[in-house]
Formats: sequence, structure tokens, C-alpha cells
Amino acid sequence: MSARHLYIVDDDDVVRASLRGLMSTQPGLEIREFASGDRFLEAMHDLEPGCLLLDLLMPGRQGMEVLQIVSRESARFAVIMLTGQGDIPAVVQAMQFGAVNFLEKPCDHRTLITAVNNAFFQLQHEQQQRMSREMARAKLDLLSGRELDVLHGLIEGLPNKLIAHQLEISPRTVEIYRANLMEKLGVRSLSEVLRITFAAGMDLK
Amino acid sequence: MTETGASMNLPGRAVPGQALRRSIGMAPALWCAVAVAICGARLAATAGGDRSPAFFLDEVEHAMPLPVALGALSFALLLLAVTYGVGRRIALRWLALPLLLLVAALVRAAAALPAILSGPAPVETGLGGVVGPIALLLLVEALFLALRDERRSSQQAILLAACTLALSGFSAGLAYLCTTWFVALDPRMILSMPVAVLVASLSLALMHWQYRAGRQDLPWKWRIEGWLLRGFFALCIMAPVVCALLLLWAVRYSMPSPRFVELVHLCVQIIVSAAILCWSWSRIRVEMGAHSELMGALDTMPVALVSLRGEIQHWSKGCERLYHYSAEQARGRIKHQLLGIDVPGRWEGMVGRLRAGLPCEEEIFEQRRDGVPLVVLEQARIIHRTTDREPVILLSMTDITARVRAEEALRASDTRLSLAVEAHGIGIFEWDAKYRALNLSSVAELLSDLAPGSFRGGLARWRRHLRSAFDVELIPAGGETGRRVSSFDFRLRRQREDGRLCAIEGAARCIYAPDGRLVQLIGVMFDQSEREQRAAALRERESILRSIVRTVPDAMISTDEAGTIRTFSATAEKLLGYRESQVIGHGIDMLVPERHRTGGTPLLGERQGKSQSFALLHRNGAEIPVEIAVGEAWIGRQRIFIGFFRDMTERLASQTRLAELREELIHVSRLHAMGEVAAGLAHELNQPLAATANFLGAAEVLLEQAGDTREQVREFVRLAGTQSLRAGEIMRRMRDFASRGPGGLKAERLSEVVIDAVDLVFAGRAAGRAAICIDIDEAGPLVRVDRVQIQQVIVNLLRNALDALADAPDGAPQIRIRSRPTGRGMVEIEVRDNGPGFPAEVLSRRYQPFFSTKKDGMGIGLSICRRIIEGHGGALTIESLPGAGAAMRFTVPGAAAAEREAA
Repeated sequence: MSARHLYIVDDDDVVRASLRGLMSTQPGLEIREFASGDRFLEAMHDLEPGCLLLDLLMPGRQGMEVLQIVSRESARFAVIMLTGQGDIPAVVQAMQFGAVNFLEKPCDHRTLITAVNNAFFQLQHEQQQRMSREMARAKLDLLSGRELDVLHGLIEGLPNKLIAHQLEISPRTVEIYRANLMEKLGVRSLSEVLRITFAAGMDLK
Repeated sequence: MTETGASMNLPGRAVPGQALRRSIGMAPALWCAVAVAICGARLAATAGGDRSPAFFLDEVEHAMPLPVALGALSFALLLLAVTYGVGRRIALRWLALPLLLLVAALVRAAAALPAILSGPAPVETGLGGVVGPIALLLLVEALFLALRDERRSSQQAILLAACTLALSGFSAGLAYLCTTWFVALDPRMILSMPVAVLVASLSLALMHWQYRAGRQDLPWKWRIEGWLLRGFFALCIMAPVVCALLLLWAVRYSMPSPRFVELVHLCVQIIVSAAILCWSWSRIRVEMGAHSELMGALDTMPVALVSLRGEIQHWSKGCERLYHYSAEQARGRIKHQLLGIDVPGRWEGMVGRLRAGLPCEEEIFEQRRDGVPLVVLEQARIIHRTTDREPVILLSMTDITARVRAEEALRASDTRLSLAVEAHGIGIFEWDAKYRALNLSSVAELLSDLAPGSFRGGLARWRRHLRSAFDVELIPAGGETGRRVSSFDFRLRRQREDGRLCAIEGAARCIYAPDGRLVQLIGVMFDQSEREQRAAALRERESILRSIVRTVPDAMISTDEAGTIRTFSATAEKLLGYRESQVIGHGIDMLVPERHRTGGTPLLGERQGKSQSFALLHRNGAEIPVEIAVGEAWIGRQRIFIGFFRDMTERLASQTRLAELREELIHVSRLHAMGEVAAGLAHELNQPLAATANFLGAAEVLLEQAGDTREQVREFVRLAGTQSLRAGEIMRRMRDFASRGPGGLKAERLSEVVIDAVDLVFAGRAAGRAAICIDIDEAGPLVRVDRVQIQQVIVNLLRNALDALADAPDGAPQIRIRSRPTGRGMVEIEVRDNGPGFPAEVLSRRYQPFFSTKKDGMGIGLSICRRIIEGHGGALTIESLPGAGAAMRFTVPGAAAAEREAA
């Protein structure tokens, strides 16, 4: 596994230093600090995917705002909100904006470490998902238009005859398309066809 | 007789021939004197009888017997007395004396009569002596008739007297002549000479007196001429002829004795003479009477005869009365010089006109003798007389001084009246059917909306004008004919162009012909606009005052100096529960709690001046807190106090409510302040605590990884980490306690929330110069909020704004609060001021706790607000508009109407 990147965004130098100190005890972490949300946003596009420890109250753009931008722009960062003044509305809002966790300062170092690990795990999981989705999409891209039509009918669970009726082709032709698409996707059963389709997150509608 | 005296005075002096008339007036006395003298001579002859020869005595006795003389004497004296005014009754009584004497003489003569008649004819006349007493008795009868106060008897008296006069005339003539050539007549049948003269003089006296007496009336009904002319006059003319024929007949046939014929002849002659005498006498008497009457009447007129030069020739009694110059003074003077004021040339001009035959009449000014000025209308006429005499001018004057003066007075009063009428703005109109003319005075024209002098036409046209301009019928129905309206009033009302009311009142009088036609109309009209306007203004003011008194929420009670209630307003009735009638006349003490009672001294009077707290008693005994303000007034000489009582119950209640609100707010804001302090502390402390916890955590991990066996060190590091976490936990709990977020959220009416907050801000302090404008519909949006917290926000924002405005040097400070709905069911409230706005430094650190620009501020206001608003799920934004003020906005969740009802 390659290095895990951790980004700390906090205006307080001491807090930043303490977080670096704590996190550097964990193996395989590459830590980078930013004194404000704005600085992070500037550098964001050049950064490797990783976990983000984001303070809520900062000069310039507030933590919540940064969170919003980050989660909108890119899925490469898992964000953990850190704040000294957490309240329920802020928590709810942070979750809505896609924060993976919300911690109140000061917090137990074990909780923090666990949260960071979880975040990396989640990030990794998402990355795998994204990769399999991209592979499935690549396979689906091989299909011709007619074959996709037939695939739609299969997803909806329609029998061959009905698909043939909807597409105004003969059931026999449907059989042929079905065999072709299964061959192209490299599967032998209908259930496998469906798994690939869903992995691609294909919007069937 | 009384008329005698009057008639003797009356015509007198003015008539020419005055002396003659006066002597004629004396004539009866003269004649009586003659008669008395004759009788006196006879009596003297008797008295001196013994000295005279017997023959003479016999002669005298024969000519006039003694009883006749005595009778005649007494009669003459009586008549004399009567002419000098002895009373009628006395004269009638004394008439018996001559009557008795003459009857006695007649009896004596009658006894001797047969002897005389049988004897030879004597030469001496009057021997018989019968005729004399008879003639005298006739005179007595005449006097008796004259004394009876009857016209007819007066005429008869004259007739009798005329007869005796004629008889005596004849007798006298015959007595003188018969002895020589008229032998046929027996001398004894006629009067002796002295008796004839006696009888004649007495007859003349009687006639003359009666002429004077009867002159006054002109009794044509009883005039003698009537029957005398028609009957006896012819007889009188025929009588001599008949007598002559009788004489011839007697001479030829010698049938009766010639003596008898002569006797008859004589009688006829006497009767004729008497008749003519009587007629002419009465004729003269009548003419003279008429003439005298006329002259007298004419003389009372102011008439003068003047020569052509103006010399006065005749000056009537009327002139004397008019000018106070007597005839003697005036005669011979030049009239226009005598009477002053002479206009040169006037007289000559008048004479010229008169000569030319023109009528001449003019008004001239003259002067009375005593200097009083006269105005005289002088009419002149020229009278031409015989050619050799110069003509005279007849001037007839009429005194018109009084008339002229009256006319002048009338004209003056007319002028004064019209002046007064014009000055008072009274218009007059007159209409007369006879002339078909309507006379409008200039004021009347103005009042009836016509330019002065512009109106032409009659009554009908004017009425048409009034109808069109004022919509008024001048003459009420039936006023023109039929039902008669003696007078009527009318009103003209109109709105002028300038909007003011024009009101004119008038009254008119109608005059009708006997057939019921309206023939004359006289009326006045005057402007009542000002009075009407004043009255309207008064009414208006009164109604305003009344409505003020009615609408002023204060109860009004007035008392006199003794504290007796005089008026009690409707509001007072409502406030105190008494009816007006129940308290009027009572002392005001009954409305006042025990502690305020003064017992007679002017309760209200003591509380004059500025308003104070006071209390009144309701009818049910409850005490009502009021604010009292007392005014003083004088009605006539009575002092009145008027008290205004404002019910303070509600105000006190509202004050209490505000106080409670404030209390609540203060409590909440204190909590919030604490929470804010805690939050600030938490923020500040949490950072170091967090760093500490992190460092300690790192140390713990490192110690663990290093496999350090110093368990105690690891334990201490762990404990230190736990304690830092505990400190963080304490901070969190404190903060949570303070900012628990909104308590009970309820649907509230936004406007109520805002207005209460505004009241809270302004209840304790003057608004200063700032005008506050709340632009929220009262039926506006409902919001789901914790009322007290949101009010705290608004109060904070308002205070900020007011402080900002207080710093602003000038301008019209204004705070505007308004609301508008935003998306997602939120409502935005904006508090905007036109102060200087926020400095940039403040704006950047606005939410930072403990940052304040105010000397005594904690710097937590805005952060509290933000926290509260965020607690409601809204947002607080602050915008500074440099130079145009600051706008502070926050959003709160809206609520459905149903939600409020449910709450």
C-alpha cells in the first residue's frame, strides 16, 4: 500500500503541531499542514487523495465552506471536521456536505486515530468501488445500441418475447443480441450481467 | 240779545264806512231817546198843568192821553234796555208793564168811543185815542215776537213794526194836511201828531234792532219776498187802481158814505206802503247780510291789492295774520320791500308777465314782522278798472312754509334713510303695477347677484333671475292673486365661486287692489352671509368641541368652589359607574377615596397645574388609579374647576407587562451572555486543551510503541490526557447549558414580536431623534420562534442601530424594520438604519466575542444574536453601506397559520 496522505487545516499553530505530533506516531502517513482553508483550496488540485482534518472556525473561508467546496469538487478527500464549538446543526450540516466524521476538540487521541484510520479505509474502499465501476463501464461501452436496448429489457426482468415486442424485432434476434452481449461482457449468466451493470452505476432510465 | 253784541263787533273795522255803521248801530237807542223825549214832554206838560191854561191842558190830554204816554215811555225804556243787552227773560217779564198801561188806555178810549163817533166831526186829530194804544200794542206784540228766539217770529216782528211805521207815517201826514183839504176822513180815525212821531220812532228802533239781530242768517226759506212778491206785491200794485175804482163807484152812486170810501182807501194805502216798506227793508237786510258775510269770509284770506309799483292798497285780515303787520302799518308801503327779501327785478318781471296776460304764480321767500322767514306761494292777477284809473294787482298769498319745511324734512329723512340703508348694506326694491316699474337699489342689485345699474326690466324678469341664480320663488304661492299675503319673507342662498356661502334674507310687503290684484310690492333685503358663516363656524366649532369632549378618553368632572359637582361627562359615567343625575349637586368627595378627601375645601382647586396621580372610587367601591389634570375657569363671577381624569388602569397594566417582558429578556440575555462567555472561553480554551490532549496522546502512543516499562510515566501521561479531556468536557457542558438553543418554538405573529421588542427598547428611553418605521403587515407572516430570544435579537439590533445613529452628526436619523419571505419557508427581517455604517475593522471581527467598539460593551451582542438565529436554523448577516447606514438581516422559519391556532 502506498503512502497515506493526511492534510491538517487549522489556523492555530500549536494545534496543528500537536496533531502532526500525534499522527506522526502512526505508520505510513504523509502529513501536510495548511494554516487556513483558503491555502488548502489553492493547493487542492495538486494534492494526492487523502484524509483531511478540517477546523470549523478559521479566518477567511470557514471550515463548513471549505468542506462544501471540497466535497463538490472532488471525491478524493475524506474530510473529518474538528471543532471546539460543535453543535447539532453544525454536525447535521457537515454530514450533509459529506464529512465522514465530526469531532469535538479536545478529543481522545485514540478516537482521533481511529477516525483517521476509518477515513483512510473508507477512502480506499471508495477508490476500489470507483475502479470496479470504471471497469464495468468500460465493458458496457463495448455494447452496440441494440445490445444496450436488449440489456435494458433484461434488467427490467422482461422475457425475451416481450423485449422483442417492445423493440419490434423477432424473439430470435433478441436471442442473438443477448448471446452477443454476454460474450462481450465475458460472462455466462444473466446474474453476472446484472452485477456488472450495477457496478457501472448505470442509470437505466 | 247775545247775537246783537256779536253782530255789532264782527264785521266792523275792515269794512269801509265804519263810522256810519257804528252810528247805525246806535240808531235804535236814538229812536228810543226820541220816544222818551216825547213822552217826557207830555208828562212835563201834565205836571206843569196848574200854571198853564186849561185849554192847553185839554189839548195835550187830547193829543196824547196820560196812560198812552206812560205805556209808551215804559216800552221805550224797555227797548232801550234790550238793545243794550238786558237778558231776554227779564225783558219778557217787564213787557207786562207797558202792556197793562196800554190796555188800560185802550179800555178808557174805547169807553169814550161811541160818544165820539156819534158827535160831530171835530177838527182835532186823534180824538178817538183808540188808534194810538192799538199801534203801541202792536209794537209790544212785535217786541214780544222779537224776544222769542225764533226766526219766524223775528220776521213777523219786522212785519208788525213796518205796519205801525206806515200807519204812523200816514197819520202824521194826514194830521198835518186833513184839516185843510182832506175833509172826507174823520180826523178821529188817525193818530195825533205826537203819538205818530212816537210810534214811528219806536217802530224804527225795533226794526233797526231786528235788522241787526237777524242779519246773521240768510233764511231764504222764510224770506218775505217769497209770498209777498207772489201774492201781495201784485195786490199792492192793484190796490191803488181798485181804490180809485171804488172811489169813483161811491161818488157816482153815493151808495156808502163818501167818508167810508175814503176810509177804505186810506187803509189800502197804508197796507201797500207797509208791504213795500217791509219788503224793501227785508231785502236790504238780506243783501247787506250776504255782502257782509262774503266780505268777512274774503277778508280772512291773505289777499292784498297793490298798485303796479307794489304799493299796498288793501291789506286783508288774512294778511295781518300771516305777516303780523296791521292794515294801517301795511297800507301805502311797497309790499316786496316791506316783507324783506327782495330779489331785484322780480317785481318788474312779474308785472311784465301780468301785463302780457300770462298767469303768475311763484314761490317766494318773505319775512314776517318779527323776522320769522316764510315761504309763500304768491298768485298774482291784474285787475283792470275803468280806463282812467290805473289797474291794480291782486295778490293772493298761500303760506307754504310748513309744507316746504315738511318737504325738506321729508327729503332729509329720505336721504338719511337711504344713507343708512346703503351703509348697512340693505337693499330696497319697489314695484308698482301702475307704472309697471321695478325699482332696485344698487345694494339690492348687488345682493341679487347683478352688477349695479345693470338691471333693466320688470318684476317678472327679476323673479326669473332669482329663480335661475338662487332657485327661489320670490312671491309665495297665492301672493299675486287670490289668497292675499300681506307680507312675506324670503331667503336667497348660493355657493359663491370661492366656495363661501352667500345667504341673503329679505322681507316684502304686498299691497292689493280691492279686486285682489297685487298692485304694489315693497321690500328690503340684506346680506346675512357673514352671520350665517359665523353661525356655521360656531356650530362647527361646537360640534368639534363636543366631539373632542366625547372622544377624549379622559373623564371630565367640573365642580364649583365648594366642590359640588356641576358636570359629569359620559366618559366619567363609564369610568365610575354613576349616572350623571346621581352625582350632579353632590360633593366630589363621594367619588374620592378616604385619604384624598378634603372635607369642603376645593379638592380640585388644590390640584391645579400639572398632572398628578390620583385615585377615584368606582360605584362598586373599587379604586381606580387615574391621572388628574385640573383647569380653572370663571363663569360670570363663579369659579369653576374642571378636572380631567385619565384612567391609568390599562397603562399601569401595560407598564407591568412591559416590565415583565423586560425582566424575562434580561434573564434570558443574562443566560445568553453567560453562554456567550462560555462559548468564547470554550473556543479560546479548547484550542490549547486540544493541543495538550493531542500532545499527551502522542506521548502516550510513543511510550507504548517504545515499549517503555515505566508504567508510572505512561499512567501519568494518560491521566494528564484524561484531565485535559475532562476540562474540555466541562467547557462543553457549560456552553451547552447556556446555549441550549431555542426553548419552546411556537408560531408567533411577527408584527407582535417586533412591536413588543420596539416597545421594550423605547419604553425606558426617549426615541431620541430617530424615527422608527415598522413596515410589517399586522396580519403579516407567522414565524416559528422562541419569542423571547428573537425579541432579544431585535432589541440588540435596535440598540446597535440607535447607538450608531447617536454617533451620526446630522441628517434625519431613521430606523426601518421590514420583513420579506425568502425561499424555503424562511422569513427575513431587516433592521436598517441610515447611520454611518460599520467600520471595516468592526465588520471583519463582528462575530468575535469580546470584541467591542463600545467603551462598556462586552462585545458579545452580535455573537449572541448570531447564535440565537442559527439556533432557529436561520442566518444573521450584516451589511454595511458606507454613508448609507447599515442593514442587519436575519431569517427565521415561517409557520403556517394552522400551526399558530394549534399552539
